Amino acid sequence: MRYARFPRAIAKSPFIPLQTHASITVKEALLLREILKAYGEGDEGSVRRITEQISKLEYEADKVKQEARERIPSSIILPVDRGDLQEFLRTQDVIADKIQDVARLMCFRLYDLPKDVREQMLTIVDRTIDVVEEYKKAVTKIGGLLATSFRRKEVKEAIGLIPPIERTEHEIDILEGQLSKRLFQLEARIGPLGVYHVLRIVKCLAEVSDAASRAGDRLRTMVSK
Amino acid sequence: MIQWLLLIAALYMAWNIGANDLANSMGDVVGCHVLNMRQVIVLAGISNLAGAVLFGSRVTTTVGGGIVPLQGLSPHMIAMGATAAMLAAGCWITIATYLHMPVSTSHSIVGAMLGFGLGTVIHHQISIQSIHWVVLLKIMASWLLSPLGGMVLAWCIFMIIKRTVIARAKDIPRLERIFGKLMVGTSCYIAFAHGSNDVANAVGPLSMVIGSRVSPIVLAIGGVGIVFGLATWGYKVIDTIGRRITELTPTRGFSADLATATTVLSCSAFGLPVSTTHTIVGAIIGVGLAGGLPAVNLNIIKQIVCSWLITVPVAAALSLGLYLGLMMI
Repeated sequence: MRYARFPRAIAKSPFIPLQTHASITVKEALLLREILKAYGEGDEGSVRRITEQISKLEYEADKVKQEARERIPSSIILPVDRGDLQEFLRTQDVIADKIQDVARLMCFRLYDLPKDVREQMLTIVDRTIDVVEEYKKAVTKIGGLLATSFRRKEVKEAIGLIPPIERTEHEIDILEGQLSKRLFQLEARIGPLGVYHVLRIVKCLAEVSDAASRAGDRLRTMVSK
Repeated sequence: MIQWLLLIAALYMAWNIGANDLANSMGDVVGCHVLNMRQVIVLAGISNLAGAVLFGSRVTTTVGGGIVPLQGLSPHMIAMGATAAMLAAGCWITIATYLHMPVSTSHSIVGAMLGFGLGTVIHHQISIQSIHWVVLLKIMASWLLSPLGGMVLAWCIFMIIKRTVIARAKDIPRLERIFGKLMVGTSCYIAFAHGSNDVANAVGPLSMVIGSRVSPIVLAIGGVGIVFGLATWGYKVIDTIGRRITELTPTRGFSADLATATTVLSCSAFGLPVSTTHTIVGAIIGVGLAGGLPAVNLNIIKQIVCSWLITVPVAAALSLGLYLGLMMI
């Protein structure tokens, strides 16, 4: 209503959408377990359905990112470096994108994989979910502190939440290496194209945790200054 | 007849000041959920009235007799001039409020008084040099300095609170609750400071008509009008602003309020009519610069500067036109 002549001195906090984005990413990551199960069972319909769900979440995350960007025009004073925040938003979005890429790759063609390979893939997925959840914990904690109390000391303590992300990411790297080697033994069973395809899925899966660990690193840079 | 018109114009202005400017300065205390609306209105009303009556005479003197030299003007001219200035400022404020422009009543009334002065110059009653340009210049300098002062002071106060209290506190929510209680005090302080400064915008011209010294009765009329505006309309504005500034926690609100009230009260002591709203904005920016807010909008500086640049000429032109018109009757 038109009765106030008090200018809007305090802008909307860009640190709120950042936390929403992380929650959506976790929802996306949790669907990876279901889609892998459906893939292992050769259930093409479910793979497609879950991919659609993931795409919807990815789109939602995109909108949230857009909102965060709109909240940081150059006329706003922020408690952190603007460039760092923008860089974080970019890396944050890569996680959601990579999860969608995994699902899309699975949609292309289903291969019949031996049980041990399926199990190894499931381990990687479980660890990836761990990484994304650890990442969300760090974003929620640090984002929450930036949105409300700004206590440098508390923020610095919260940085302690980032190294576990990096440790789990490293574990996934090792698992990915082992699994890739095993995949080449499947040439007779699924053909060279099959090996290539599953390799790409595994590679893409590993990129999810890569992105999460990079986002965690950006978060640390942002609040360490 | 003209006296009644003048009184109504003064009351309208006072109502408007209460509905908007006093409400603006009460936004944070409601935004922080420290007091409910009724408590805010009672406390702000009493403090504002006290500020107006006890401390309002200096600024009222500046607005009433500080800009236009009254010696050599007939009582009729003064009455017409006062009426023209009141109506011009009131009209401009109404338009600006409708357009959502952060316009100050202080700036409007000063511009309007200048318009009246120029009207007497056109009628060859006084020379253009005899308008108190130095006073006008001082007032305009204070418009620049008051938001800056609010900013610097708020920055200092928040930095001190941050370094000493916030850094050591074990229980932040409890600390915020304590500052919430302290905000009851700063809210009264800000309402008092506001009354001491802004009552002049409503009754400055009126006191000019009544005579040499500013009477407490005139100040009380203005003060009551402001409180009436707060109670009948201001609560809507408080509500709107309270919802907008939820990021302002009590430690931040306390810093901004203390800085604003101190700056405005100092200006009152020097008889300078300043904008409380602009000073609050300066103080909020100060808290933001001290790292106390998630995002501070700097675009409003542009808006505020624009409102300065528009208000004085528009209010002066309106007042000049009205004065010349009234003198023809």
